[in-house]
Amino acid sequence: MTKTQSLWNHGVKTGAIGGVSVLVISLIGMVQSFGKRFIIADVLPMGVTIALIISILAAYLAAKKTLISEKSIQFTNAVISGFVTSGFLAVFVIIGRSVNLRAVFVEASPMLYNILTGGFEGPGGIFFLLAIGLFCGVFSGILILMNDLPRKLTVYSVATIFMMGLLQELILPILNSWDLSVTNYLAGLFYTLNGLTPIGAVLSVVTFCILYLLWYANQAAVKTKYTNLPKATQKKTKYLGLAVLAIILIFLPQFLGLFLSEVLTIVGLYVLLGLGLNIVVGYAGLLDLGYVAFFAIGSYVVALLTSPQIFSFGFNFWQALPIAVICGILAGVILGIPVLKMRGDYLAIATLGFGEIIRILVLSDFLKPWLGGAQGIGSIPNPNFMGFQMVRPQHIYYLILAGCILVVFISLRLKNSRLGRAWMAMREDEDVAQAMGINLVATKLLAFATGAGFSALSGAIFASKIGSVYPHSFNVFISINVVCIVIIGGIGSLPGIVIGSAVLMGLPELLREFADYRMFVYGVALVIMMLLRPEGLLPEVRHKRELHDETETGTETAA
Amino acid sequence: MTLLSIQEMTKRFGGLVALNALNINVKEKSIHSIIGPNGAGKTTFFNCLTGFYRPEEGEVLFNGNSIVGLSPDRIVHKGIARTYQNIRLFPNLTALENVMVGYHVHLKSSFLGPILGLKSTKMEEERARQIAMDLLKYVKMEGKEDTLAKNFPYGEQRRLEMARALASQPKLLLLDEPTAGMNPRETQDMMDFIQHMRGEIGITIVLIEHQMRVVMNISDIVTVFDYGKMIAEGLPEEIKNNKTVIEAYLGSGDAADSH
Amino acid sequence: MFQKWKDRVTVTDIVMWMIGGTLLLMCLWGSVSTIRAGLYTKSHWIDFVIFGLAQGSIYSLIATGYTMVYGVLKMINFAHGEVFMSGPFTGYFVATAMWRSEFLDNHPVMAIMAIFAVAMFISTMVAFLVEKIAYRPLRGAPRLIPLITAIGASFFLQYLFRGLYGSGISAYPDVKVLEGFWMILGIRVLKIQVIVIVAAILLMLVLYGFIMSTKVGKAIRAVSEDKEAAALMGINVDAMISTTFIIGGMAAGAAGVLYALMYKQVHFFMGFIPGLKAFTAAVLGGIGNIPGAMLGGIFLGLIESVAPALFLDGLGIIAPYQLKDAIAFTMLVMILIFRPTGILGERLATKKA
Repeated sequence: MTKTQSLWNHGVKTGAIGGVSVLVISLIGMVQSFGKRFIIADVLPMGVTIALIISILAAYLAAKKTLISEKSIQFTNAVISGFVTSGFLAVFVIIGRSVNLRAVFVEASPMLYNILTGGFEGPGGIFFLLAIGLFCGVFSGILILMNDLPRKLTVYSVATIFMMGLLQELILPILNSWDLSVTNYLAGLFYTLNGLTPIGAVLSVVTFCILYLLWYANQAAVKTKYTNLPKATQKKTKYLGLAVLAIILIFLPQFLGLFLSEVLTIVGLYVLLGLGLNIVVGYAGLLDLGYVAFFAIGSYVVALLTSPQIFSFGFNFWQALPIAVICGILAGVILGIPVLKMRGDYLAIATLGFGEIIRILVLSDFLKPWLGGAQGIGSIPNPNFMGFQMVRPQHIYYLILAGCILVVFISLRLKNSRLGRAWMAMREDEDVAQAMGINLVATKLLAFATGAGFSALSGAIFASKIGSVYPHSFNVFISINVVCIVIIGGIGSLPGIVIGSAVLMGLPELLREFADYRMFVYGVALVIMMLLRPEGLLPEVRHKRELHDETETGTETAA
Repeated sequence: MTLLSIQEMTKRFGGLVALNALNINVKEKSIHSIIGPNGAGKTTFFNCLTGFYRPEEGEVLFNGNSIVGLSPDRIVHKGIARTYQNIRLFPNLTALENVMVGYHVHLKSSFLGPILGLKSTKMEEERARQIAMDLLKYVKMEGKEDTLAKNFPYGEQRRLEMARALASQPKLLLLDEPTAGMNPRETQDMMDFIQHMRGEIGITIVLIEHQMRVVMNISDIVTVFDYGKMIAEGLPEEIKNNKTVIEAYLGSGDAADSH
Repeated sequence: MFQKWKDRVTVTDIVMWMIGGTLLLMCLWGSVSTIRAGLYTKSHWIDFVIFGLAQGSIYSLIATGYTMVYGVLKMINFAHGEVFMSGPFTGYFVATAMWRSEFLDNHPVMAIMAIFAVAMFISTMVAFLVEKIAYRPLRGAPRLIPLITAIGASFFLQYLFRGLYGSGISAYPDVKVLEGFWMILGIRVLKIQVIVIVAAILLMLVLYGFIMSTKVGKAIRAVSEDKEAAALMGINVDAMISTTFIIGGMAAGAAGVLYALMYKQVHFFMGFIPGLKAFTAAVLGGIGNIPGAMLGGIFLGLIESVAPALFLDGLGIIAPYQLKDAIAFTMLVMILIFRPTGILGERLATKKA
């Protein structure tokens, strides 16, 4: 008896975890807010999709973790898990329909119950819910039974539909901006105003499967072909790739409308911030939670120097920019000195304290005559480039792009230098680094200063983009966001930062419903990331060829 | 010719006297072993020499200059390098990078050099790289320069740590139990290697060691610690027959031999 | 001689001493001019002190949780501020329900007990689950990793409760018996402040007694000293760590209710700043040291309440109360620099090889 129990233990347990998870996202309103947005028009709302994915994932894990790797037992466990998950929800719906939970849980509305039960009233709804749970379990069970290739295809197909639906606000405007008959036709074929058309969903899956199968069949051949190429040709291919990337980056705002360009500039500013913090956290291993202070300093310096509101210095943006960066660097050194001897947790708390001190000071009435207090500073002029007013986000985009390229270049150069090695040695073991003759004071201060300089650069651009600065724009969440970008992207990895910014900052702008759940999701992501994959999404790849290529490219660009 | 001269060095932790008025002179190009039962203060002694601890009293003259109270990084600049009892490499750096960090004190470039791609910086980097590669070859680890330090087996980690210490081109090398956890063959290799270093590179070596066979075979002079005090000093043969030493070891003598 | 001196004292040391000295001088100068200008009467100062004591005793209760967790896990439980928030935020619904049925005013003692029970239960559960889910799998991981997890857990909890209970500020109902003043030794004091001080001190005494004299308390202390040795002595280390979180959670939950009764409002972000302050208090008293955390909390509360008027007003700074948080954080940083072991400290903030 006990033996059979332990066999199904995982199914019940994982199902319960799945049930609680779905319950939580329902109770905080995610299912409802995302219920108005459709993945597939009128069929599959996004909120429900998220709930389904969680149930399926729970069931899959239940099967995967089963002690005995016998397919039938795994399958049954998946089904049990799916059933338990929906059971939790069913109990919740029954309770919720008889007792008013809304006095406590603001989101426990009849609408939520309707979504969970597919719109059926009474027992019919409960049966529907349980049936869906069973379906999730069976679906995962079948996934377990499948071979590798069909399983991958199924999972990726689901992911494709989800992504196509998720990114419609990104894809549609791009298609529309061409305004050719082909693109208009495609847009109409794939999308309604809210979600994919069923045909669009099927077409995306088919296209994806064909492409994937082609790649799957030829990947080995392509790889060997590439490695067999002479070194010079390999290098040329790489340059070609870079050139294509450059062209895409240069013309990107032309495809994107005003709104997407705006999103892009936000992502870009966070890439800049992330690259700066990467020096401090990723290279030197100093967890700085007061990073927003330097962003604020960059912004305020530009604001004070260019805006006529408080002092009328009458600087233009280009004169103010280097001053802002220098002020940022100085602030980095000044705030760095007190925390030199602190490590880990203490450093994090002390820097967090610094960030708050700066914000409180800026906000105070005491410094209002100089910094504008809570009202901030307005009427910051737009940058002017050779007589050209940079007004629109598309223009600012180029400014940010230039900043990013500069910062990436500096980061790469420093990484493979004496200083970069000293930073990484310090990150690995501070005492030993010192015993290797590394001057911890200078090395740490250089890390703080470099990071702060990048952050101030980002802040300076931010101020001139928005046209005004308020102390409330510089709260601790900015610091936390940047830390999330660096860590979730992969500590120390530059592409990771770009991906991290795009996912963590770009996506929420596209999904406005997401705004309320942003910090919730970041919190979950940080915890799960640290538990399962502490190296991040795109970890820093460290191997020979890459190192060689970087030094060689460096030599050539410099020559 | 005395390279390192320690006079009346005392280190206390609260009420505990970890090192008690030590007087030791280390001759240039000698292999000087420090032995003693567990807890005798040997590693504390190294930590005081390298600046991690600051002795309360006494003087340490290295090459005639006082180094007491200098920070660890300043002391490396003066020419002292060390290894650790429990190997402490930079686990997520490659072997090459580990050794290049060791060469840090001989490099000058700082911030602008690498960014602007200055010629001097590039030449310096190339030199560092070459020296690191040579050292890896010297410790028989050529061809493994791009492996992360944490992925090496134990013996290679020890050798890598040694290469890293050598990279700072020290006059004095402090080795903390270089043969700990090694089998007889590896131990023999390490002994050969240590003698080779002294002979070929010509540096002075102070080592803490538990294996008597190693101590007796390679040391020029042996100093014995017990409870933070120096209880004997002399040639290996003298120490072997010293009555005080035998007494000190009686309690933990088995431990010393079984290593 | 100069060379010898130069090698041994670093520039940063000098800079730090200069900054510290300047701040100290400013405080002195400010105090002298405030007192000479006679901006505040004696009764003002007494109000400041009593308010500071009340505020500080709440910090003390939260700080014990930080300090105990630091003792057993050597990590800062960043999510402790949210443990503090979760209890009274949930207790709010009990309080309003009882207020509507007039139970709150008819049986105030029982009602408040009920609020305490609910809040402490919820805070305890949150603390327990956070440890179990987020920290336990990470034993032995590099130090940065549990720290980041803790930050993640903190934001997860804030926004979980925001989603569950709403994002607005909820007003705690008034309890009639807690309104008004008492005359103590001829000084008019707010009832609620006295009750908060007394309740917090009683709770801390119970907690301290528990840690010092019960078997479980001794086991927890053993785990803080040396986990491996404790395990060898047959102590279940994981269970003791859980117990530590449970005790910390209970203290935080109780502190939360006192806070809610004093300020009459709760919201999802209410734990963040008190959490940081309590951490400051724990550092002030020497992290890992329970009586230290208690003293540190009271000291911090007093400073926060008295310092803006005393130090800053005399310097001619407008609206000094806006800067009280800045004072607390400055103090945190200064303590970490000049006396990382805290007032009663035994453990070092910076660890040498």
